[in-house]
Amino acid sequence: MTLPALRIALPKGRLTKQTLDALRRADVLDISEESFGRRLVVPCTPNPSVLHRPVEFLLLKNQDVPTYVEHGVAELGVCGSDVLEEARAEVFRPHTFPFGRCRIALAGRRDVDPAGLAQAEVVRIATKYPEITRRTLGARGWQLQILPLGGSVELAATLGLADAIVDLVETGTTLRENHLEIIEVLDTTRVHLIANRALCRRDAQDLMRLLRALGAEITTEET
Amino acid sequence: MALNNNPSAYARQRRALVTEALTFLHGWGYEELEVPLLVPVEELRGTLDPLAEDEHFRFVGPRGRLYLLRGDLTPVVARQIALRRPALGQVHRVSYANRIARLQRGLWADQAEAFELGIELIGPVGARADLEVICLALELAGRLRVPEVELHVGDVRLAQHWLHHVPSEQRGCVRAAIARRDVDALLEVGRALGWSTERRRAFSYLAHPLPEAPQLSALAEPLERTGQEIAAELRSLLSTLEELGFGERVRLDLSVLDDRGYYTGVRFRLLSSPMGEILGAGGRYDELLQRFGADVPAVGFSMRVDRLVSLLASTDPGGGDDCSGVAALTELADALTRSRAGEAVRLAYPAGALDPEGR
Repeated sequence: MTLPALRIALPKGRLTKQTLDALRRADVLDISEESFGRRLVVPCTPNPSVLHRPVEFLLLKNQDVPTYVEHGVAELGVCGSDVLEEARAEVFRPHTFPFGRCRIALAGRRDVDPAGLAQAEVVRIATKYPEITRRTLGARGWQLQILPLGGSVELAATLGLADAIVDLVETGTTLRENHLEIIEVLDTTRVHLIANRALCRRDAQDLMRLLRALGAEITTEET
Repeated sequence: MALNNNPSAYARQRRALVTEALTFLHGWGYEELEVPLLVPVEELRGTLDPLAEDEHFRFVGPRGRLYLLRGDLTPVVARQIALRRPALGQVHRVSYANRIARLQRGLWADQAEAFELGIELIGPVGARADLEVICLALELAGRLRVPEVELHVGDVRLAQHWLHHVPSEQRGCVRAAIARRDVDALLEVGRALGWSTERRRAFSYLAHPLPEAPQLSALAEPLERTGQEIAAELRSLLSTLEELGFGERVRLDLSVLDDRGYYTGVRFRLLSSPMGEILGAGGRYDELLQRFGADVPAVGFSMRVDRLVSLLASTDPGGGDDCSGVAALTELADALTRSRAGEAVRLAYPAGALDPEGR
């Protein structure tokens, strides 16, 4: 009898390659991103000593990964903590990958006085991350007017739409080239292996073998 | 789903399910209690966790008095029972089924209203009462034909003990990490606190996705005597449930937290296996009635009727309109005599000691 495939939701882009590399190094499966072509569902045969079921990768937009996993369409997924916080998804995060760490920072024009922002009656913040902004700055008692944007957030501060921005910062080059600078690092985002809450019960042994292969610290004494 | 487009079918199903559940619970001596819709805020102040209180709706009533709309039934029921001034050793078994209003995150969208049914066993202390309530939760799920149900059980005191060793400003993050089974986040906290590898690993078991006996022992070990006692109680509860035939449906859960602000011991969740959706929850709250002036222990559980109806409709789309499943009380009593929960309670309360009210 053929077992149903274990569905893993992957965000299209750089994280797909990094995840496949990590799975290859862990000897879970060997498939390259190039072989995916333009397919959105990619079947694959894993190492049977780790996963007893065939694997099916779902190639999704970054923000959609938590939704597919939370609703059980995919049992596992790979997702950044920034996306998870914005989605407020109720999924488990049993493993953190060593790649993809990024700073999430409050940034503004070079002439902006950070102390002035904290004391302002209302601070206009442009961001792709309203939840994180509320959790970090809102919790300090700042009166926020959040302007949700889909991209090119730096422009909002440069052109005066917002007093400051909250955005992911990797090297800081984009900020510098748009005459902005980091005021404060608010958080660090991480890339997680996420799991549907039911998977931790239904296919528990598959999950534990996968975590062990990935070198999850919780499993080290059991190897 | 068909029910979404057919409100009257939903209402019929809900009524049938609630009637069946309350009849079943009545057979166990649980008397239905009418729970008030509005409670003055000052009377519930301090009984709820601040985050849980934020989920409630508040209204300004006549003469400027502030009221809380019925959102968490347990404190309201506890208050009602406490006002009767129960004596120590007296047992109250109450059931209820009511619409509640509380802002909660649902699978599809934020939800402001839900329908809950539940029981509270007020008076008996300790494992025997916990066992009665847990068995009843499982039996009730079976009675209502809920498919593939699992019960995850732990003790909130384990996490509480560990949280005392974490600086207060980090406790919120730790609680969130436990709820998300974010093992690495807990390890990082342990590292930042300078804990040994062994202690860090034990701490991270609070978020273990699949804890078993060795993880329970390791988690309890650094907590010295109290931790060991809690672990022993949990082991004993799990083995009794196993002996009663519930083993396959019961799992240890070290991640349970007091998320409502009044749980003091055993805490459990009832989940649907296919989706991992939480269908119900319960636990021991020995200090809640004290806040209303009655020093009496208690344990209870509640189920989300709206989720049960949706789940039953999705697994048996045609079965919802049939209300003939509401069995007569006498038939239920017969079934109870044969049921596993019956065995559990007979074990818990031997002949002649059923309860001081003489039921």
